[in-house]
Amino acid sequence: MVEPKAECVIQIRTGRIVIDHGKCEECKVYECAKACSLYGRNIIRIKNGKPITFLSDEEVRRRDNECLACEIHCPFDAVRVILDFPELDSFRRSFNGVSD
Amino acid sequence: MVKLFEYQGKEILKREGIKVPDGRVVSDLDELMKRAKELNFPIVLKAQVLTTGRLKAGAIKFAQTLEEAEETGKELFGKEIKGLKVEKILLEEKLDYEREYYLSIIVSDSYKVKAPEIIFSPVGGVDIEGIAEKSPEKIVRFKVDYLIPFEVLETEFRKMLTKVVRDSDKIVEFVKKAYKVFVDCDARVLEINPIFLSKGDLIAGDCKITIDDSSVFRHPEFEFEVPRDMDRPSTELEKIAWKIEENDYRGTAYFIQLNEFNKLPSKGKGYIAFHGIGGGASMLAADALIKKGLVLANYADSSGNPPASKIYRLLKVILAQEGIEGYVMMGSVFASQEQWHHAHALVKAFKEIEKENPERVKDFPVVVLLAGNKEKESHEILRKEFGKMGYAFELYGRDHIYKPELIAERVVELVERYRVYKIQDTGESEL
Repeated sequence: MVEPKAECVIQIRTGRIVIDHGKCEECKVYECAKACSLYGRNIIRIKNGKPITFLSDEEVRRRDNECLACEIHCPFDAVRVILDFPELDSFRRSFNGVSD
Repeated sequence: MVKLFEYQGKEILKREGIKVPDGRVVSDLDELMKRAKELNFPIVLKAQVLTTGRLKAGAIKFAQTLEEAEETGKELFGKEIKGLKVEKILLEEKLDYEREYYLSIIVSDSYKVKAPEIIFSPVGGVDIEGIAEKSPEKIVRFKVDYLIPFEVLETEFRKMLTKVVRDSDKIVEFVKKAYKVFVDCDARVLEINPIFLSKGDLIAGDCKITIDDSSVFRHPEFEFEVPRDMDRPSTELEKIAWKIEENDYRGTAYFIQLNEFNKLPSKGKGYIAFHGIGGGASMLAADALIKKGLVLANYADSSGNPPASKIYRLLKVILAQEGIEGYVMMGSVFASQEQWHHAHALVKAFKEIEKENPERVKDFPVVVLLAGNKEKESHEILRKEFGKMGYAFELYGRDHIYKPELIAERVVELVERYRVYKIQDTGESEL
């Protein structure tokens, strides 16, 4: 049986940060939290070696600047910032652009 | 700034108690024939296109009979006036009039004014610019102190008016109502030219209202699809790009397609997606690219310190354009904007696109000039992350702000290489 992924989901103003805690097992550098402190608003903190937030949903939405840095700087590919854009998704189904 | 059609403006004037000619808006010939019968002939047929100088451009025609109206309607519907397709016609009863006046109320950003300004002339009709040049004494300019109710300023305004007209009472009343419309609509410009003096009444012969972009959210009644200053209907992608801005006022994500109807005779030396940060330098850079024979698919701007999420969505829109052969960002902002947000957005957007189809984007030119606050840190992020990807990536900094021609030359070379790769390796001549 496949163990379900231990995920942490943080709702931000126009999307959500999804952290796969399974990929954080080996991490000793905590780049996501460091990046959040440098480029963002200290949303992500480390508890028991795993990135989480101590803030309420409301406080995250108020404070977060959606800097995307946690995703870019994570060396384990454990963090994804999902920014939905349904209008573009349906357009892209019929286009021939660079990302096709 | 967003423009309203004449018929929309006149509806608003009417609600405020300003008289307008009896009229009907029609969208096709059948409707025209039906509605024209409700009016007294002769009538005027006015093509509803967002441009000035319509009379001279043949967008305003007169009809003495229903048959003439039908002929003129056939001629106008679908016709292009200054590149704009006629989709609606306003039919109005033609008025007999004794005089024509001119009125406009604008937000003047002249350093001498910095306030709403009422401009009135007893000589209205066409060519008001000519009057302003030849007979400036026939134009009254009145600066409005917007903190004081207009009723309080009325005496002062009336005094100025008496220099150019004998009976100012009706004009003052008319202007008061027009000023209320101007304020209520959050307008930047309200122009009524001409105002007809007909049988003792003042009647608005035309109406142009331009709404302040930033106030659009207060006016859902106008139902703007894309509240941008445009003289053509928006493209699908432009409508999608507006969704980024619609409810997010953090910085700007501006996007307009320059070859939106695929009327391109050729892609020149490269069909480029262009992304600027901040107006002035971006314009210079765009000019430099065009001068080198590149064709810009779009003009985009992400300035005013937008979050990376907003820049990322804008990038996805920019890169969704069909047939582009390269992406160029030219951004040098030395104000409050931290450029690392652009760096993060670029990395995320291009990484995702490559992940979807690595072969398709191999050697695709990505040329970035990123200068300003946190430039060094931004360059480190970009170099590190783009180093892992397969794009033909080149990065420039503050040393190249005044060398857009050099960057343009590099873009031409990279596109040439990319074209060769596309034909040789994939058999495709374009994306």
